[in-house]
This record gives sequence, structure tokens and C-alpha cells, in this order.
Amino acid sequence: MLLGNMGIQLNLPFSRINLNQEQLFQELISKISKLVSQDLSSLRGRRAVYCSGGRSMQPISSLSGKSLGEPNFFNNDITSTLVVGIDSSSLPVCDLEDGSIIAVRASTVFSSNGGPMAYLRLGPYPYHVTPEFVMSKFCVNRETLASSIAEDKALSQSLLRKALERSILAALLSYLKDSIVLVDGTFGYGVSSLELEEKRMLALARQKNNTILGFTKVSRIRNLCDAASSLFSIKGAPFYIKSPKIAVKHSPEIELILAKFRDDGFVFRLDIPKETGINVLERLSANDHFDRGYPDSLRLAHHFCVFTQHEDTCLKSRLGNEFDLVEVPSDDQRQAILGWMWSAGRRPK
Amino acid sequence: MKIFGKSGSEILILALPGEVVSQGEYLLIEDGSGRSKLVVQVFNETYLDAPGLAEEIVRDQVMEASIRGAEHDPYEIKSVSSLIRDSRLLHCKARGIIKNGKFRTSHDWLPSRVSSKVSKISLKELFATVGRQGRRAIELGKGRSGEDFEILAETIDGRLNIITGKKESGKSHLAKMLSSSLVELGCFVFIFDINDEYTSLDVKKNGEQSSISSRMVRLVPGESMKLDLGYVGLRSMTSILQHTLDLPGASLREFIRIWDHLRKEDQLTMEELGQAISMWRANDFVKDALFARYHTLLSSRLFAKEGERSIRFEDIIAKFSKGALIVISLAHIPAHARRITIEFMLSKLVDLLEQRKIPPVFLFAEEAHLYLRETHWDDIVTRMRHFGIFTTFITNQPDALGAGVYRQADNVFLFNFTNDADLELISKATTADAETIKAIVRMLPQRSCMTLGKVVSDLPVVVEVRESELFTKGETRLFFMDA
Repeated sequence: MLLGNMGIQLNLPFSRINLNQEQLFQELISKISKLVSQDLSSLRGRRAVYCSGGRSMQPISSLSGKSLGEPNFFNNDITSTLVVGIDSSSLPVCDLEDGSIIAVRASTVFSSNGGPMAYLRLGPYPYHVTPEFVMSKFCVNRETLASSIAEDKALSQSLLRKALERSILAALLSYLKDSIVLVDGTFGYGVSSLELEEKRMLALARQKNNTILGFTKVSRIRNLCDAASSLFSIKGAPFYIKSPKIAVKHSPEIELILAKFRDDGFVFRLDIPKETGINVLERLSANDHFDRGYPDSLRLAHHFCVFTQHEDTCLKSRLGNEFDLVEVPSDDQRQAILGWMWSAGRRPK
Repeated sequence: MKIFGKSGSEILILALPGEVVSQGEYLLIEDGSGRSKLVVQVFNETYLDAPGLAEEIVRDQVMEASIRGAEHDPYEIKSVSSLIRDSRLLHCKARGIIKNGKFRTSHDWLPSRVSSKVSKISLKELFATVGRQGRRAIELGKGRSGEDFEILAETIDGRLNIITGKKESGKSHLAKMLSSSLVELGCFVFIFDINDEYTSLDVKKNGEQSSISSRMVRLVPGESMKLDLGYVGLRSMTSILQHTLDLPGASLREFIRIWDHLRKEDQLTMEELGQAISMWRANDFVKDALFARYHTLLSSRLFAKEGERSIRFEDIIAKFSKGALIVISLAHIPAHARRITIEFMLSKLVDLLEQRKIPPVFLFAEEAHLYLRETHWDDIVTRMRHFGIFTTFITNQPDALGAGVYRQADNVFLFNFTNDADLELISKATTADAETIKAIVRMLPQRSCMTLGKVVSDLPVVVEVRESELFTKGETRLFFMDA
């Protein structure tokens, strides 16, 4: 130790390590290549959808070429019906010693007779997400599960969004009647507490003849994605198709269909209550405006609730002032280590 | 207000919506260290460009335009957002520092961004630190923050001034205000009045006589301004013949011989001059040339015939011990008579000043580009001011003066210009930086000017020129008077 220190102080040269690089590298390559390489000869001549910027793209024709059967075309029913689109978004604001602060905002857009009528924007509501909060808010009994949820920021955000959306949904369903409520994404599964909540809401909807429809923009399920693509090129709209061939886990009270509302539009996955009649789709098609086959109520609701970078700044400023938060200096470690060019970070100005 | 950053020679200051600062105002940046205070001038303001702001503005606009709605924003994020959206970045130029109560133009020091306090500094406070020399104040108008601003007559004395701006921006108003103020202070002011608008300065708006009414003289060439050839003198006459009437050298030599002959004979009158030219033994071409010029001189009606009374500037000046406004009305005379008058005036004034027969005078040249020849610019800029003619050019064509005149100008009063070419020319030639001039002058309202030069100790000041109590003619004459 003492000699080592003396060496540093005297700036003595390091002793050389004898490394047979050539032999070592050849050994490594021959062993590892056998372990990790895969035979890709089966790829020859296959149809492929290239990803863009790391994101999967939606094919506009089926990859498999499987037929899902004949589509069920339906007409527009111009009976005036209120269509309500609900969407939400979340924003991680800061990390604390015992959890994090996540803000959630939701918006609802009311449409009828083919155009939007009004909107309501709620939030942002900041939440201090800790294991205790998860246990109480989502009725999670196991402490380890609650800790995992609180640690996983993406999951926490998703659950908070769902919870806010479902609260709004519940309030709307008790007030409205004969209406169609559109929610963004799937409907019918999640954590147990939400599942129960959703069952309750389906029952609530039935009481006043309301219908809840879950609209999914992009499905992560490969089979569904392929099925939707196979329907894309079918001329004419609106139509839907019930496909029992697609195995997707969903609530027993929910049925899954693929529908195309406009001729120039995409095909979307819809989660609908099993008892839903075709007339609901007919009224929806007539009472909402569709842009590329996607309901405008949901599209606007999405635009109204997303957080801009500026709102992120404002929220931080407000919470900082309101609760005297002391900002701890921080750094983007990934960017600091790898540099902006290879770390998907923003180029520093 | 807080320091936001520095970019080149620009200092950026962040101002919240309640902190109202106008272009042209001065700010004082006080560092916690207490060493010195930085003086900066706001020359432009822009919105704060926060990330994501564009998306939010577009979204809000879409929401407002498309559907009605309601919002529940428990933490009032929107109010913070509005605050940021309406926040402004003040683009400032450092003008100097105040150290131990004294202003210095050097600024080799950057104040702390964290602990600095930014506040407005009034023109009165600022100029108290500058230490302007003089005691004869002329109230010019109001600064951007509404405070009274005055200049010192001593800073116009012995200086070359330019008043320029686009049409109807208020140039003549300022010229009248300055000239009448100088007369009130006992100065002798000559005015080349091209539009006959200065003669009304003897009356106040309420109809009463103004304080300078008894000290005003209006001279109309050919009418109240007649000149004896003896008073004109050979020097002025050759100047007229050479520069205004383009008499060739050979003819000019003959003219000088004729002039000398008449002077010796004590017969220096227009009638005798005509006869002498006709009787003179000379080349016919020379005689023709002289006759042509003689008749031009006659037609100007500027020269007194026998029995007519001639004016003498020294006599006029001697009559007014406490200053006078001598208006040379050029509005209703032919162009050649106007040029002859100007040529005579300039050469005669130099002559009189050389002989110390009159005190130094101020000369206001309205629409100078219409009657002053090229060589006059250099004369006025270099020679005449050494004799004691302190000129103020008033023009709406800045390119007519030439960059050389701007560079020599001691004071420039810049009114609104929107034309890029005009702004470019002026910004290149004046003491202030181009960015300041381009940004401020373009936005100046009517009757407001940016004052540059010695008159403001090289600290550009934006002033709204005060209303004059005098009756000012010169507004556009309209056909539809009831409009």
C-alpha cells in the first residue's frame, strides 16, 4: 500500500501485462459464435413490415394472408345520440425518497350529430405514489406487489390514468342515458380492483341504457394486428367482424370485434359489452365525426389531455412553490456517459 | 426582472407581464457585490420561447375555436402557463457602468445572474451621473416612462445636427420647437423655410402673441429681401455666377473686370451692370454669356434697383440684442431664385462671420436636399461651422445627405423610418449600434424621436417631443377640409 502510494507520487511507469490478444480474441469468437448465432435461412422470401425508429408499424395488408370471414356491413343510424370520448395522460414530475410524484389529467369530449359539442378537462391532479398509496388507492393487499407497482413508474402511471378515467366514467354513467361512451384502449382487464370497478360500471351502464366501448388505436397483439391489416383493403364501410379465431385474454363480459368505420380509415379493435347490439355501432358511426376511421371525440380528448413540455415546466414550478420542494441537482447519467448522439437524448444547445 | 443571458453584445432580461418596460428605456443592473452598476438600454422585446409553448398555444386556439368547454385545474397550472406565455425577453445593450455615482462608457464586467437586481433608471437619474455641461435647458419632451426630458442648448451650440424621419413623423415640429427655444435663449437663428411654415411662430395656439413674436423677421427674396450689389460683394456674386449660374471661367474673368470698373466708378447697380456688359469690349460669346446670367439675376428680383432699400444682415442682427429668428421664406419664389438666395446667404454669412460683424448663428435648413448643392454639404460640415454657422438639416430623404455628413453630425434626431434602406444608411453612419436603431426607430410613434449624439452624451434616448404652445403651420393643405 505504502509502496503503491509512493509509486503514484513518484509517477513511476506501470508494469506491462503480457496479453496474447490474437489468441484470446480468436478463442472468444469461435466459442461465442457457436453459442449465439441463429440460422436465419428460414427468413428467405418472407413478407416483412420494417420498424421505424424502433416502433412497430401497422401493415396495410395482411402478413399471413389468413381470411377472417365475411365482414358485417351496417348502416348509419341518424338517431341523435350523445357520444362521449374519454382520454387521459400522465406525467412523472419528480422522484422523492419514498416514491414519486405523478400528475394525471383527463379530458372528455361530447359529440352528437357528427360533430363535437363541448369538452371538459380535469386536472392535472398530482399524486404522491408510494407503496402505501398503491395499497389504499388500488386495493392491493400485498406489500411486495404494492412496492413493485410504486417502483414501476410506467405501471403506476397507467393505473392512475385508468383510475381517473374510470372515476369520470362512473360519474358520467350515473348521469347520462342512451349514450355511447368511448374509452381509449382496452376495457375489461387490469388489476383486480379495476376489474371489479369495471364490472360495476358495466352494470351501471346497463341501468340507463348506456354503452361503453373501448377503442384501441394500435394493438400490440400480433394476431389482432395482422387480422386488422387483412381487413384494411376491404372496400366499403362501415363494417365489423367478430372473430372467434383470435385468442385474446379479456373479461368474460366483454366481446372483442374489429371494425372499420370509414372507407379511407383504419381497422380498429373494439372492446364491447357482450349484449351490445349492432345499433350502437350504427348510432356511433352517424353521431361522431371520424378521421381516418377513428372517432373525433377520442382524438380531441387525447389532444386536450396530453401534457406539453411547457406544462411540465409549469407544473414543476407550481408544485415547487406550493410545497416548498427543494430541488436536488440532477444529471442525465445516460447522456453524460454516452453523449447525446448515441443516447437518444437531445442535443445540448 | 432577472438577467436571463448574454448573447454577443446583447444582455437578455426576463420580465414578467406586470413589469412593463418600453423600448428605449434604461435599466440598472445592480450586482450584490456593490462594485458598480451596469446601465443597459432596452432596444427590443420578444416573447419568452419556452419549450412546448407552441404546441400549447395551437391547442388552446383549436379548443377555443372549435368547441366550448370547461376546465377544472385545481393547482392553477394554467395561470403559471399564462405568466410564462406573457413573459418577455428584453433585449438590451450595455451602455456603461455607474461607479461611485459617475457614469463611464466602459463595461468590462458581467454582473451575477443569480444575485443581480434589475430595476428601471429614470433619465433624470441617469443623466445626473453623466455630468452634462451647461445650464441652458431646452425642454424636449417626455421619455418613454413619461418623465420630462430636457437637453442643454450648449450641446447644440457649435454642432452639426440632423433631424430626419419619414413624412409626417414630426421633424418640422421639432425643428420649430428647437429654433424657437434657441431664440428664447438669445440666439440668432436663420431658417430656410421651404414651405412657409415658420412665419406663424409669432402666434400662440390661443391667438396670443408668442414670446418670440417681437424677435421674428420674415424675409421674402424679391420682396422684403432686396440686395444692393455693393452689399452682395464680389465674393458672393462670383460664387452665385460660378456655382448657381454655371458661368465659364473666361466669362467670369471679364465679369470681375466689369465689377472692378463699376466699383471704382462707384456705379455698382444692376442698371449700370447691364449697361457695362453691353458696352464692354469683349468676345461676343463672353458678352452673350454675361448677358444671359445678368437677365437671370434680374429675373430673380433679389437685387435692388436704384432707389430700392437693401437689407443688411448685420443691421438686422444689431436690432435684436436678445436673439432673433430670421426666416428666409423660399416657398413662393422660382427655383433659380431660391438657389441664388441660398448661395448668397451662405457666402455672405461666412463673409460676415470672418469679419466678426455678426455673432455665430444657427441655420435650420428645411428640406435641405431640395436646394443645397453637393459641395455645400462638405462646406457646412467642415468650413462653415468653424466660422460659426451651426447647421441643422431637416430632411425626409436621409440618402440625400450622404454618409459623410452623418459621420460628422454631432446630434441626430431620428424619427420613424420603416424603409430598410433608410434605416441601413442611418444605422451605418450614426454613433449608436445598428441593432438599436433598426429596432427602435421602426417602432417609433408619430412625434417621437430617438436622440443620438452629444446632446444626450452618446446615450440614445427616445423622446416624445412636447406639444408646442406656438401655432405651427405646415400641416397638409387638404381639398376635403370637412373630413
